[in-house]
Amino acid sequence: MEATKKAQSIRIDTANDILTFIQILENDLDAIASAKNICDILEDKHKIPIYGMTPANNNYWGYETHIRLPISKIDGLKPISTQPAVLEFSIKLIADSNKFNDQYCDPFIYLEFNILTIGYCSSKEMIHSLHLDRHPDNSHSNDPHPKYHFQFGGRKLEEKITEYGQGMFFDTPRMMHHPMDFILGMDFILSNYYSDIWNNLHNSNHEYNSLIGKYQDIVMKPYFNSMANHWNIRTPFEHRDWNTQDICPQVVTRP
Amino acid sequence: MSNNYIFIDDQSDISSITRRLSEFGNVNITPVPIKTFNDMITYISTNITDIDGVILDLRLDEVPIAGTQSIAQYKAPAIAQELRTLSAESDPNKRHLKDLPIVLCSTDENIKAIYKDENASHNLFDIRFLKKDTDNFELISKQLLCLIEGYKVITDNQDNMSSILSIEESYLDKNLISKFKDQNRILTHNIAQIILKDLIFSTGLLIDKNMLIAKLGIDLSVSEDADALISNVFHRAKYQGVFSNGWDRWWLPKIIEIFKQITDVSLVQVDAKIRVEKLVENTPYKKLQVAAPIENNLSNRFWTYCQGYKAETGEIRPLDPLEGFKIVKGREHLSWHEYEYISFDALRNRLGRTKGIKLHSSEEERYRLKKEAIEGVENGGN
Repeated sequence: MEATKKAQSIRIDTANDILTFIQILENDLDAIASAKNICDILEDKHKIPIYGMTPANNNYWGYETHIRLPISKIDGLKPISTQPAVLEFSIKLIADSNKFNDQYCDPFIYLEFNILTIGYCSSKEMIHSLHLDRHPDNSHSNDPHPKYHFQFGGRKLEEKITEYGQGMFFDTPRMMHHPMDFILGMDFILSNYYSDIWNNLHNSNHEYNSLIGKYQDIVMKPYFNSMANHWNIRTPFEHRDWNTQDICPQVVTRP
Repeated sequence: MSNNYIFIDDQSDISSITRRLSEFGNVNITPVPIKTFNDMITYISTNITDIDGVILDLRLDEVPIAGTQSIAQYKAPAIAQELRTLSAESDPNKRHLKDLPIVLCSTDENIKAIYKDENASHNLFDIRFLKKDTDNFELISKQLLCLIEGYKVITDNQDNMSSILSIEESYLDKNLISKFKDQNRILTHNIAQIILKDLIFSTGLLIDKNMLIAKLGIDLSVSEDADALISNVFHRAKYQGVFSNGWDRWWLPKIIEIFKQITDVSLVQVDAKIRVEKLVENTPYKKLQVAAPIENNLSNRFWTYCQGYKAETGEIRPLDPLEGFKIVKGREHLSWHEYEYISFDALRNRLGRTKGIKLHSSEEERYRLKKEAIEGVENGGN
């Protein structure tokens, strides 16, 4: 099966942007070079992503990657004697080319986004895990899940931690957060964990800013459009392009 | 300070060239007829105190050596390599020659026939110029002079980059610094090559006037104040290091700094419309207009210009690199370099094709898909 022409167009543009982005960051973080596998995936029009039990659909496109970045300093790290070592970022996303780059619709149909940080304290491996997930459509959970939410902990934490000390770890709260693709994800990681690099890029690299702006328009704007429009439009939730209650289960109908 | 070049050529008619180059008072050029290789090296060694630079014709094997029936069995790169190796000689018992500028001068046809595609010889020469380029001989003579002066400064300053480039190291890319400092021995011609090829003749840390215009987002054809703006507002960013008298360049990090100082806005964060607005607001130069995107392009986040238009018509048409297509570059791309781009419009109209502008092979598919999409719309297709 071959991607549709429209999907091919999106794929190759995205691959080009991501390659440019990686080349900008490579100078400061050479470990990011392994993310070039994203371009290989996107450029192969026969690689149609699938998820769950849904049948292959050649309108769908996506990518996944896993990078390991060295990290030596984290703000407010406790226990104090912990030496940070690696920040692992993995992302898998799938989008529908018919809905992508529409300023009102959810840009993705699947997102898995993990930040796992590893450090060492008295030769013990210390773990911190954070992930941004997209709650599947038509899912039947009792708890309200914002469509895109950040969650601390999760499976990776459970797999690696054996002693919890005095810390408590649970699945809630699920904090709503706008979706992020690879580019926005790296920008998020840089601003939080490598702020010197982030500041330098923001102040001196034109293409970095152009790329962030472009993907904020595509990936962030629909999310915030839906939130903002909640106070502007009065169509019932289920008739809006992107149901604001999906994004933020807390919102209630306004008079 | 003497500024003497010798010009080695097998042809006998070069005295008109050497005379014309010498008449501007910058350098003095003496023609030297072809000899056997051994005699040539001996001649240069013997006269080295009076020689500050060497110009070589590319082909030296067409006219017989004076007094003989035989032609020389070598061409310019062979002499250039021997001279470079002699300048590197560190055994005190062996012959050593001072490091000096080596320049290639030839015709278009010869350069295409034996030099252009032969990569091994490209690092031997500092600059090259064409015999027929007489209109530019005054500029070339100035460049020849500044090569001699630059070589002296480099030799005196060794790995002191900030003296050689006349800028604080904090502005420089770490890989560039490594190139200077991580060498076992500092050889002047190596440093000269880095500065000429990887800084002056590339876009990145140093940019030329056209690139500066494009980054400011200005339409040069309708902005009368553009030159005055650059001379007066951005003069602090002008490159003053070695070879700067021969080539006008500006430090991009300093341009960004100055722009922020006078407008309080970051050049790399805003689009061209805002850049030009802010320049008009904050400087006495009001006759500045923002450039329009090239046909079929939408963005005015210009950061480069279309090499197709430049090669074909000489026009500088600013371009957003995200909308552009990479072209093949002659030189190796290093971490502080920017790529060169061609616009979709120029590609479609084959601009620059005959002038050597070639689409990078990795971009062919992307161009093809965009062309299909646009032509689909134009033909009223689905």
